Amino acid sequence: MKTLFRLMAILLVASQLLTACGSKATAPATAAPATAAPNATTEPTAAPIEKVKIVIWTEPVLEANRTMLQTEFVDTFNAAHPNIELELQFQENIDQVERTALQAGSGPDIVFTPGPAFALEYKNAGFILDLSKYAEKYAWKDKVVNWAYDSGSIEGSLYSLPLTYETMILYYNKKVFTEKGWQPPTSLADIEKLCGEATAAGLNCFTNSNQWWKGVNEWLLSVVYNNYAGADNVYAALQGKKPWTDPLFVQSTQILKDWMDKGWFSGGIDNYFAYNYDDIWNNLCGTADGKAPTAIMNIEGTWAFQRATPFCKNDWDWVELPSLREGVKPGYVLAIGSTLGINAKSQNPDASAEVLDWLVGDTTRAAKIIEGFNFGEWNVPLHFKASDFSADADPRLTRFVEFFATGTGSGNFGYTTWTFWPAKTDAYIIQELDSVFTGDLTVEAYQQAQQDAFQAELAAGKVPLAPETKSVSK
Amino acid sequence: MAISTANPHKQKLGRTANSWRKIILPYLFLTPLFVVNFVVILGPSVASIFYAFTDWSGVGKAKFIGFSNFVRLAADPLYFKALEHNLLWMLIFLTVPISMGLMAASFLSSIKRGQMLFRLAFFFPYVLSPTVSVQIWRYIFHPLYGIGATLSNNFGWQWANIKFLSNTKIVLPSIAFMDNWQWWGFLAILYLAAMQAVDTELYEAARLDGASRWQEFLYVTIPGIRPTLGFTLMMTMIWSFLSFNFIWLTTGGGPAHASEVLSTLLYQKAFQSFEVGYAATIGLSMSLFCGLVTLGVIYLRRKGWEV
Repeated sequence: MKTLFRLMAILLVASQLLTACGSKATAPATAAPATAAPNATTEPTAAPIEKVKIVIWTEPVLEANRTMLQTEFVDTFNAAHPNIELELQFQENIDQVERTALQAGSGPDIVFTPGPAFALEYKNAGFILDLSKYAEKYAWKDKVVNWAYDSGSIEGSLYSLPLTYETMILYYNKKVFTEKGWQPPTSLADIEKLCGEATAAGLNCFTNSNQWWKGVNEWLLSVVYNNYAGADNVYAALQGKKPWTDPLFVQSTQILKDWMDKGWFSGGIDNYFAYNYDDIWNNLCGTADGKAPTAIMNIEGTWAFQRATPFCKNDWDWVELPSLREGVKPGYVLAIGSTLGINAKSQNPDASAEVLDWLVGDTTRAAKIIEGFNFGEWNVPLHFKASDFSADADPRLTRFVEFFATGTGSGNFGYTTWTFWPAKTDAYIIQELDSVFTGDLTVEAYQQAQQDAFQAELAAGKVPLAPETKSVSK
Repeated sequence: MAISTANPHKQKLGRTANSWRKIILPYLFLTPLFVVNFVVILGPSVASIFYAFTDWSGVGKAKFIGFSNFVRLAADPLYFKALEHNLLWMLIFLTVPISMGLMAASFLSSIKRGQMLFRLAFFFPYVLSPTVSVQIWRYIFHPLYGIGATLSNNFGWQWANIKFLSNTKIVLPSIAFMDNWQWWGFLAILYLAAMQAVDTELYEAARLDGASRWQEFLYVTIPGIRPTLGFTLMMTMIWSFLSFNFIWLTTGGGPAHASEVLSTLLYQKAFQSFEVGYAATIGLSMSLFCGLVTLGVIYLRRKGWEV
């Protein structure tokens, strides 16, 4: 009895050992042959379809959008490709989870990154495949908007395709503007006048805060760099031809500091550091229980389209962010919010490439997904026409697609930090702007540290490729 | 007289085999734990010593750079700011929750009726996950809907609407207050259990000698629970260098590094700034501080202190 007990105990321990050593990481898919049901007769059966499984990891989305993606993207792909089973998996903290998996030689077949700077890091580490042969096979260069296609190219080869393109715009409360007789600003002088009047009326000018997402700091910096210093000067700095300590960039950052000191961001730093995401939109448009709006504008990206209507109903609209300096032409800043590449360790790169082509290959299908997200996510930058979108599409959103295509198509565009800056410099920008706002760091010191970090990464070849803007500032 | 027919040689072998089983079996049971510990803790710990001497982004190959990370650490004002915050955190947690725990345990030990109810009430916050606790306190401190904001909006008490989590001067003590809310109840129950093991005759003797309640606490209770008290003091010091979850979940070390501690700085450097090598250096320094505390305790024990 004792012996039997000991034997059972040892077996239990051994089983625990095997369980503890088991891996939960999703490995690149292996072929899983599907078998057909056996026929009742003795006739020879059809050869079973060898089905491969492809896994994509992506960041979490709203539940309704998960269902929509499953229907419009995954199910349609699987129906059209009986030899491939596509599975979409949503991962919290995807950057860290995926990086760990890739470092361990594991991870999904299709790799998500939050932007070209990350894709560059992954390419340098050998985590993602050169997609050039697939780009040629599927003619992706013709399907994807030029600047977005180029953002995925490194040293002349394509390594990632853009999943979400975005830009910064100015949301405003249309109802309050109408009531007060205000017009959306078209210059720095307009902003200062409008913010002064709003403050006098007991309203906050901008509803922004960064308690919920530190990256708000880089949104604001991207806007002032491009709309004050000028996109051409930003491009020059990204090539290393102009320092980030140039007076134009110092003055750009000073604008943010001045606006913060005036209390134009949610009433001041105490609120800027305190309000969460719901607060921002409730402050802009009021609450469902009747609380009045307390702010009039929000500087945010087009991903917020999917939030604007639920919070604001029809009380919102948007305009292009204005030029902040005479001689600087306003334009849209380019941003790739996320990219997709193929895991270098994937056992089915060809099938993975088919999935990528399904994403960018058809504008009507892509438009349906974009509408599902209310133009907020998964809006691949293709050559859309108005007819690609349904008649029910929000005209504010179709206007954006049209204006953006026209504006950037003519070469008038700027650059966002999360797309075109190298990773460490970008991290510094985000983390230390708070210290500028609190006065713990001077603007000059902030710019100098940016310059130092950028120079080191430029020398190491870590600055993503940026298309040259045709915007010229005086 | 019965004569044993058992083979004495076999008997000796049987006793030896039994002894070996008794020796080997515990190690067999410990092996899985050791393997998991080695793979998950020991292995990465040793690897982090290596990475502290490298410039590594967390992906790809690590480049050996000698002592550069340590030189950088020694001159990094942000590192020392974070360390200062850890020491402040230690000071708060060596005083506030421990004195609250001792006081509560002392009062609890003298009541019989309703003691279980109080114990449950004090211990309940401890079983909540930090995520839940942080959410609760976020709502309490909310600048628009929190208690202070409600008092301000309804009664005009502007002074009540304090921005606890966004004011750089008070954010760290505010988070410490949140963490303490969850922690002190556990200490109270721990000290209560220790106090119940103190010989009651000592209290009687003290009362006979005319000791007041406070004197009983000071000269009977505290010495009686010294091992438990010493243990919690030591672990508080060590955990103060490792505190992470409440701070990260609430402010991420902000605003403007006002609540930055070593662990949040390490996390930022490793996962947001792609400076895993430097993060490993910070981690090593944290291990060093914890090691110094442990050595201090060992030294005191050798001197006869009951800690």
